[in-house]
Amino acid sequence: MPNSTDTRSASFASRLREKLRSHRPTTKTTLQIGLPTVLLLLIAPITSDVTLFKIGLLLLFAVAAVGLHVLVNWAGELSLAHAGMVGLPALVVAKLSSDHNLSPLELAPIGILIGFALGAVVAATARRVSGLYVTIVTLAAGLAIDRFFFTKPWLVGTGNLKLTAPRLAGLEFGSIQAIYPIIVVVFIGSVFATRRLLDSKLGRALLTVRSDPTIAQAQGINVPAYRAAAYMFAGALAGLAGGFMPLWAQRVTPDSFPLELSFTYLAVVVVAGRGSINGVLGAALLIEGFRQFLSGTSFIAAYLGPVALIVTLTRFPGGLNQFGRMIGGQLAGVVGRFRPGRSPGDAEG
Amino acid sequence: MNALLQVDNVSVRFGGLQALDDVSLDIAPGEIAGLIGPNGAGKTTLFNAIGGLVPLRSGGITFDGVDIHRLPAHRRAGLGIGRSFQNLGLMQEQTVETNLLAGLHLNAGYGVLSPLAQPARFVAAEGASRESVTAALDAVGLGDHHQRVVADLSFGVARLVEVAGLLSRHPQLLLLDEPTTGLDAVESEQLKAVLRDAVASGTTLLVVAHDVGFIMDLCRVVHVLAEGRVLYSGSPTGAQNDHRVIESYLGSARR
Repeated sequence: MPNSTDTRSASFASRLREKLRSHRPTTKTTLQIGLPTVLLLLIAPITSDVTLFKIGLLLLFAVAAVGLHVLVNWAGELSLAHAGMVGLPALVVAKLSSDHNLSPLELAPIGILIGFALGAVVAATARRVSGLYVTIVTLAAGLAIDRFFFTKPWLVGTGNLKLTAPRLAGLEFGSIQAIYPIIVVVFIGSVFATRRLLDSKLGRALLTVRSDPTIAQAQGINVPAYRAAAYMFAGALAGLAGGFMPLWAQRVTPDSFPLELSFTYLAVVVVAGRGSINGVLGAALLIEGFRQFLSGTSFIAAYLGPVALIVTLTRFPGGLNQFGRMIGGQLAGVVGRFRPGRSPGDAEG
Repeated sequence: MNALLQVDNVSVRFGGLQALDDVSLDIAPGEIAGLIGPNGAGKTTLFNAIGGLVPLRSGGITFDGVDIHRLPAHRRAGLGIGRSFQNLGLMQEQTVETNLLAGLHLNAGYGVLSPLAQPARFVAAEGASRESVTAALDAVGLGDHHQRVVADLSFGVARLVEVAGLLSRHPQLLLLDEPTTGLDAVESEQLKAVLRDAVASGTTLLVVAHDVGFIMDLCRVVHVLAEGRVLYSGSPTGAQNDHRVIESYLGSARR
């Protein structure tokens, strides 16, 4: 007869097995995370350090843009303080690393906290106004960060903060090739986490708040809280991108985060349009990617963002996401036509 | 029997307009009550006052023994008050399924950060929500409409989707504002059956409708509002014979 200790441990083992089984990633999850991770990692050995550096910058740009996408295209809010929300965490991490001989890699998560707090401050001011005034309030917040923090020697030093070599748990990350996988993990992790959050009651609540705050309240959604959460989420992702910037760039100055960078972020999310994160990744690649990789042809780089913004607003207000849905719908129609047992008219119905 | 909803001497004012003037009415649990009156009588304003969307100038509202008149709208919904809107409480550009899942916000039963780790509780809750949506759509005969975009539906079908969504939340009290608008005769009958089923499973109804026949057939109690005041409260038959009601509303409605 088994004793009670055996029974307890057997029951614990079965509970653990059950728990692990319930957390086993599905094929879809594995593909969603694994495929882009492998593809991004495969780029590293076949490109030069300069190209890899630009890809890393683009990935961090996309992380911050995903945050603004949630704020603008899901919650229906707006922020012109996004460059400051990336820049301030970046400068704080750089300053701490420089002054206290700490690894920027260990300090990077602090960026999330700073970005989250900045998001809360912007949300607190933006919640008191609506419409055009939100634009003005957030622009003022961006200006305040730029004019107050970015000019203070106690934060930005004399313009040349010397960072400590990146290390974590005794491991040194001495080359751009060694740091790149960390940036890939930050990017994939942010995109995947955001996707999961949006595909839950949080995402649906934000959609309802954007659609009609009165209906949202009647459905039990705490509208001010969800609006604030959207600002804090956007701030946290901006802070995450900013927090990892010193690690990747090894040198950050206030000039890296000019006020017009906020307009670039806004252009990216407008060109992306409402809906999927894929749209914002495509728009980031289009606008910031071109800027990074076509820096020699500065004319195109300088005007691509504004031109894409105007074309989107006037000709294609749904942005890349609407374009993607249209193509997807047509593909589904074509596939439907060739499905066995269907009459030719079914696909249109 | 104690009232589920008690509206006591409620007044609402918009600038110089007295939208509700000393309105009092009780709704008993399990009741199907109708609220009728001419345009501008204050019916939707009363719904907004109960739901917490307009502030009261004076008076009080008690729901299930709780004084709710100072609670924000989302907290009132959390107590079990659901409501529909004259112009559809749906997101036009979203699918039927997304709309109904969004409406189940309070029933979701997991924290906002749970989706990150997706524990078993989250998976079960999302599965239950999807099952509720399927059951609700099946109940109104729209079981194959999950992936239809609301903007592509006729107004009548969208109205049924809205009601299905409200019922899937199992509210204690359901305030329906013009639920028959856009419905044809068959859909109206279907709606009546669905609402009777909802009441049988514990929901109390307060219905605003211009379709007097619908109200008289469905409701056991009728409240008549005119110029922000309660003109009549009682049986539908009594309302039809009350000279004040005939003069202010039914006469014109019958014409």
